[in-house]
Amino acid sequence: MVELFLFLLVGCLAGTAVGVLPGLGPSTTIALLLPITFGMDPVAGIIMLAGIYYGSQYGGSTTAILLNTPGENSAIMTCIDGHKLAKKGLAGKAIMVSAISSFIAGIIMVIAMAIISPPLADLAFEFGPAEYTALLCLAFFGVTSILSDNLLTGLAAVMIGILVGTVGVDLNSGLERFIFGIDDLYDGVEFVAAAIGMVAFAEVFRNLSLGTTTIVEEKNLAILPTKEDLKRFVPSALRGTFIGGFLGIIPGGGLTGATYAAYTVEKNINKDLGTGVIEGVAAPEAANNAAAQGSLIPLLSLGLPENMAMTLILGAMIAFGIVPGPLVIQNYPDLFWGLVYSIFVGNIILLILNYPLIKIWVSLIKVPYTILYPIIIAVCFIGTYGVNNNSNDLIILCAFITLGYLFLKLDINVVPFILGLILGPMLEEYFRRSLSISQGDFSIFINSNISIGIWLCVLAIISANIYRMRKNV
Amino acid sequence: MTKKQYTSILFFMIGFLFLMMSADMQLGTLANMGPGMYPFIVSCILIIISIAYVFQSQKENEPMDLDIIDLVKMLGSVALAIIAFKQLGILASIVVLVPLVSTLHKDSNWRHGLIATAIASVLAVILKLTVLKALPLW
Repeated sequence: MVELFLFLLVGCLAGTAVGVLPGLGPSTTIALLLPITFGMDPVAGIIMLAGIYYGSQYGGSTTAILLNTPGENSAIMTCIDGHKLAKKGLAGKAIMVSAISSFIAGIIMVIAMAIISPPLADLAFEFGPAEYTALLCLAFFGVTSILSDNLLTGLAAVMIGILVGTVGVDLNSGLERFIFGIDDLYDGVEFVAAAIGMVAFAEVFRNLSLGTTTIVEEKNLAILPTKEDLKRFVPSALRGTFIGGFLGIIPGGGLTGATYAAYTVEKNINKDLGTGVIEGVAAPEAANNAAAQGSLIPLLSLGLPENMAMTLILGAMIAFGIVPGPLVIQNYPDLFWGLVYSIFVGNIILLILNYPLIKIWVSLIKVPYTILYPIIIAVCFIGTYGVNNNSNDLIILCAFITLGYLFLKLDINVVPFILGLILGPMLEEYFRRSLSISQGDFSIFINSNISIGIWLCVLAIISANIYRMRKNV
Repeated sequence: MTKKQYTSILFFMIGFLFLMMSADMQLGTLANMGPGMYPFIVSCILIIISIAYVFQSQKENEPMDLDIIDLVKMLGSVALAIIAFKQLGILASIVVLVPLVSTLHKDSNWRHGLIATAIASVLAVILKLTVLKALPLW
């Protein structure tokens, strides 16, 4: 037991540290530590890898709040309100709200995992490719309508993201697309290079044009939220947990999609979101932690990994001789219950760990910006290389620095672009599969009640935007 | 030209570029799509959006402020750092990159550049020793 606890502690610490560093995600760390775990007991190895995975969800929000640079792609929505809170001098409180929201989500999800994982996993079977296509379109329209002043520019940014996401080998035909003879583009555009170039560098450009000398002044040193704060953000965290947990369990729902969905719902409830309110941090942070832990359910029950980190954990399970699939819970109860226990304890460790660490992270923002931004650029440079240990990714980074600069100067929100880049390949896969099943008949997209419900939501968003545009004219 | 006009031109150009390239690929049928069909559809939508945006933004006349000097300096610094990295490793590239990008801020001075270079170098060594084992220091 002590040994398991130590491995869990190491995993949580490593996960938090890599989550804080932009561009150095859990996938890289899991990949690096994978060979080490092969000498361990399978349960200890998987627990440590899982600790890295959900620890990074805690750490990813820190740079999002302090530097407006998501440590993890799932923390991108936290940037919106989190960084504005930091600018108001409430960085410490924002990070603590993020940690508490993640904790609430983690504890609820571990109970959900233990009690209702088999029936919830069954729900995934209700979603076919047509339903996923509708769900992804809803994510695009929902996020665009929230984050862009103009629906057309937001949708155009999504389309550009989707087009950039098509670069690489087409998985259906095996033919290459838009790689211009660059072999490194066979596997597609590296997301980290895109996120760093378009988000982190754009932030540096913005600060340079403003002549920023300090990022923020920490005026309010209180880290712990007040009773009033708790009343405000706990309901948001609970809603985020529900949405994130649900989308995490559905294979393909994804962490980033969960944070977008949670933020969309929260924005409809609280119109102040986007101005720097704690609810805007609580909802996406709870959602990404709930989704991270929820995604272990399809992994353990169906053998379906949701992302690169999950794929690596799946690979580790296979290397340990564990056959993924519906029989994991029955055949390997030690693994399943060991994970449930580790998540529960891990969340407590992470909350305790975050309290002293917040002061260290917040002290970062006291460093003069003239010293800090060159260091940020150097870390981004190393992080971009570190994902694949490939210096050609740095050349791709230059292309995204240019595109990010143009987006900044033209007031185009970069988040819809990133969303298109991440979810575009999934949309293509589901779209093509749907039309292949229906032999080209588009009615497949409205054949089920789930699809119809989702499309009605899309229609409502478009109508609301047209109404808003006409009102402004 | 206004900012909105530049925006619609950017959207149109990207859409048109991908449309031309995807049209050269196998398109296939809706039931059996080739690799070009999906980007072809998406780029068509992007072109339609860019045209709609021109009409929508006719009344607005916010001027475009595209000062690309910062961008050129940044890209130049990163490009030199990439060359230094490929030839001499990460420490040399940091020594090139950090002082060069430090000059982009009007309030920066050589002392700030030096401190940032030292901190970034220490961070690179820590990363090399912990998680980025394949990172060439020199």
